[in-house]
Amino acid sequence: MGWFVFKDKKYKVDNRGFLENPEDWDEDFAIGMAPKLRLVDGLNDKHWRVIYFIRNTFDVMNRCPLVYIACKENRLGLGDFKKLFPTGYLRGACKLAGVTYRDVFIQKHWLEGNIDQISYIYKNKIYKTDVHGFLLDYNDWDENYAINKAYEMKMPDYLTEKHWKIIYYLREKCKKTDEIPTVYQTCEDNKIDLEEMEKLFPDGYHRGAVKIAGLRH
Amino acid sequence: MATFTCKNKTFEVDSDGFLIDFNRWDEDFAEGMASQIKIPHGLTGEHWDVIHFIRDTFSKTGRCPLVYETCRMNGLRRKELKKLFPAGYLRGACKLSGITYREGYLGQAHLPATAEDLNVISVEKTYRVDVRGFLVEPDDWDEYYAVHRAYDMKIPGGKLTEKHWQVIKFLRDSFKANNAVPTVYEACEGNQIDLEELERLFPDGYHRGAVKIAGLRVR
Repeated sequence: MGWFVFKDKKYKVDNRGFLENPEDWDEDFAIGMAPKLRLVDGLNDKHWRVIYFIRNTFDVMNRCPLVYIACKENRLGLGDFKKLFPTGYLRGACKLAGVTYRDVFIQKHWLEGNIDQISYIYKNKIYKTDVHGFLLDYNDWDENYAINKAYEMKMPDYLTEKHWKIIYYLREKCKKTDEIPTVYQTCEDNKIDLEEMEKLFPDGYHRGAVKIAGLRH
Repeated sequence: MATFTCKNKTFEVDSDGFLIDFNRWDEDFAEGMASQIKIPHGLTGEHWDVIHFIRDTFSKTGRCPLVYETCRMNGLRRKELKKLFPAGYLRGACKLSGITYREGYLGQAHLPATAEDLNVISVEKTYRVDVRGFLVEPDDWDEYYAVHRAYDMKIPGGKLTEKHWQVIKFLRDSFKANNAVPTVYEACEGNQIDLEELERLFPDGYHRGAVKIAGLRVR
């Protein structure tokens, strides 16, 4: 954690100079940061178009656009992009825009209000997993882990109220009985059939629901 | 290592009674194990259909079928499956078949794994990740980790190809040499691919896909 100072303004940054909070961003941040990213002649319209594309995408989609999309949407080839942001996409364009893939899950869906800015809270937390991606320690689990896992696994509807119900059910049951309930019991206790379970967790019961709930067999 | 003995045969099993090496499976194993998992009256044709379905699917596709597929393909409702395998799908049907999701990653190129290796790795190896699933310690990385992340991310085709491995190896070598993750430009140039090709290989992104699978991270 540190500070980046420019024009008498202070911005909270991490130890690599990335803005901590996307909401703290303003144009001065980008202007001040540019020379540090090998942009000695300042930012021109092309830079700003990309920077605002990243910020606007983030505002609308709550997600930092992929480099593929940023190139395509701005009609830039990788060579053009390199000329504009020689230090990289993440370490150039995104850094100037104050948004990276880390900032994706702030205030998401139902968690809004329940968990305040979870991305920041757990930023430096370390989770131990086995090779299959199952958490080793039940107690390491948190909602942010579940959300990110679901995202990584490309869950179709993300995590809805129904998903959370199952996740919390699994965790409570496991805490009480020290055993993961069978898929039968989980279906019965949650009054859903297997088809519904598949819709919710298409990766499987163990490989989907149990994994996201931070449990492992 | 624990063992399970029935009909004068001894099988190596893990601490939960799961068969270590699916190649060592035979019908005697299933019959012997059945009574241990709440199937007191032996295995019927319906049990065998499910067991053989799981094994056949594994030998064809290299992965353990999901409970959903198994029910659908065998025309079984949940309640019927429960009657057949009261201990669960994984802990019942799969256990008897000697196949679980653990075996579902064998048979991948670049994985010199025997079932024993895989079991040791599954049980003993720990990977430290941040909340987004990026390895915290690049040294924790191994090929198994890469295969599993690719699997979780649903990489197109379900498997890492030679080309994926080429990029992954480039990233790791480059990181080792320079102590820095190469930029997306360097990665494309170093592998002589354009961005479109990189997107086809790692649709999740450069950092969120390729770099993550290579066990590296920038921030």
